Amino acid sequence: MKGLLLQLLYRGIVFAMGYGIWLFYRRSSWGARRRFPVQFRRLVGIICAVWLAAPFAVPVTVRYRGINTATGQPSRMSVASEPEAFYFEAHAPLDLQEPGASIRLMDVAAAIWAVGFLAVLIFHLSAYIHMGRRLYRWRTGPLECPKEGICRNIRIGYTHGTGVPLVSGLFHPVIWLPAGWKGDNAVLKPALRHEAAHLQQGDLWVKWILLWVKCLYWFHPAVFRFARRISELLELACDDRALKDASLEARKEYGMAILAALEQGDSQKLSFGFLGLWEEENQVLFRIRRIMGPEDGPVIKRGRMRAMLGALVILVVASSIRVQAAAPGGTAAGRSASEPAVQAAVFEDTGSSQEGLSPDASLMDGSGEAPEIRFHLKMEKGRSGKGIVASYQINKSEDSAAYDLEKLPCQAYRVAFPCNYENAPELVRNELMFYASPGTEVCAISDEIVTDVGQVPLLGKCIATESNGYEIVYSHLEESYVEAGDILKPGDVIGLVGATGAVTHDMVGLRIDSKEGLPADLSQYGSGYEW
Amino acid sequence: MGSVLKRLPDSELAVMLAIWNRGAEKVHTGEILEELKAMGYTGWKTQTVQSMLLRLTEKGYLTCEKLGRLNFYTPLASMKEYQSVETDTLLERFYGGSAKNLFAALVEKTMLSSRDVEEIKELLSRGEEK
Repeated sequence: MKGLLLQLLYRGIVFAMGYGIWLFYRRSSWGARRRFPVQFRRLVGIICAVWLAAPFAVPVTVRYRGINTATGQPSRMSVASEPEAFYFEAHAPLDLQEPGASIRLMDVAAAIWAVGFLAVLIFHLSAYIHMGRRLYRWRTGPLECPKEGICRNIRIGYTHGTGVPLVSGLFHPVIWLPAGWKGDNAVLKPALRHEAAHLQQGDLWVKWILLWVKCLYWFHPAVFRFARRISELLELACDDRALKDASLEARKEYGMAILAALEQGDSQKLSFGFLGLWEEENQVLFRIRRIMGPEDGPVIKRGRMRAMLGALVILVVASSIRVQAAAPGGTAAGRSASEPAVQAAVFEDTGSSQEGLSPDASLMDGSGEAPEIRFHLKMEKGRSGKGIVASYQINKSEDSAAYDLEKLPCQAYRVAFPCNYENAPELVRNELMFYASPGTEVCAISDEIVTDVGQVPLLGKCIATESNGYEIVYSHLEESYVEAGDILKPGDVIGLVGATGAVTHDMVGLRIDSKEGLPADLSQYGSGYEW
Repeated sequence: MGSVLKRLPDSELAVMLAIWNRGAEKVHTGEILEELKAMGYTGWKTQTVQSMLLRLTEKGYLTCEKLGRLNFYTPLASMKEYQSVETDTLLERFYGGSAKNLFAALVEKTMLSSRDVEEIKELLSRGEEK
């Protein structure tokens, strides 16, 4: 929900800026001189409407080259892209707060938006159903389906439920005509041509997209104005289509049909105040002028139109994708089909008893001793699944740094802070970050007791646990399923991967500190992928 | 009359439409059935229609007069009167305004002053002279 809201805000702001620039340009002396064809404006409008209607970034998987972490080469990742203050702050002593202790602005905004969205959507849908029923209820006879002519294979009905000809139904369209128009060929033919043009152009689909856009951006007045303009453009485009190569007499008939529809007495009039009336009146006159003669002014050059359209498409596509890392063996999309529902990172202290396993990392505990620990990264099915699917053990003695991330639970991982802090060496490289799909379950990595759960600035939602004298913190979670005092076993689901805190990707941060406060040196794990 | 009219269910409205469409002052059941068939309601039996006519009479939409063996019905409200009652609620007005978003119409309904109509007619006649 948070991501959706941010996307809506982002797109809403970008749209307002773009639309404002367009309006400014059209009103400038330079822009007013050139005329953009209706079909071009309609196409641009539809592209913008689709962009607004789908406020989701499509993930595009990019494969990153692995690096040899065993050689200790510094990653080229992130000194420039990761501000120092972020990690200083992030690694400062945790100040956990109770969830919900403070009112989160984003949650309130999301709730308000959701209420508005549902209200607008339900209102429009009920109005549509109501209107559809009224048209059918007031019909004067069975629907006809002519086998030839401009409306062949389209159902046509006469009804007292409307004063103007209109078309309804996405999949089974019906052209509804006022009951009084039956047999009146002078106005009937142009009206049918117009409605048939609507169907040929797929305008009803555009109308539904516009409705969806209005529901999503119910808080955005510019979007409503834009939707209205697009609706008008649809009508103009249909006029053009219906009157293509038409004689003057046919144009006059067409104009008379519009006038007849307007003059027909009805009770659907709805006034939106003086401004609305002013706009509508001008729109009718403008349409009649266009019907009777071409618009004034030179049409903009075709090459320029293509360039503008191309630039718009590039902008739309570029702003609708999200680049993410992929495993070297295959794309994330290819992997997802066989991906287990739940994945886990498992941490195990091997300083005690496990024989035959060489130590993988040293955790300096302040006493000079170096308890040996081993990290196992496991891929498991969750509680609903049937046990372990695969497991992988990071072994620093391997020369190859290209860990087989295909088997890892995440799309990539890296040490949080590979650049050197000369003044604060204790803050260096003490957090592993596992990038995974949003909603991936996070599992406990060892036998642990939950010590705290809460929100931390920059780290987002965190779960702090204690295990064998080490403090473990899982950060950036979307959800946490545990409470302080819970006893965890390795593999217990404790929360969901998220992007809370100051991060831009969905991940879980894993930080392991000794009780004395010294961080584990995880530097030898390097980075799963060059970032 | 308008203030006592209540919204009719679909079937009863169809019967009223048949009577209004007939246009005559008095119509008997056979004519109503004939009109209903023309409107596409082919499966309705005489008894069904008669019971609906009885309900409409009770509701005050019709008066019934027995002439010979036939019952003749006279509408007490015109279609326009009933339409104005049905569509004059605030909700109907808002619905009518909103529905245009999802229907593609020849032209959006708007209020035109007589001057506007004159201007449009002039535009159309000027085109004829060209």
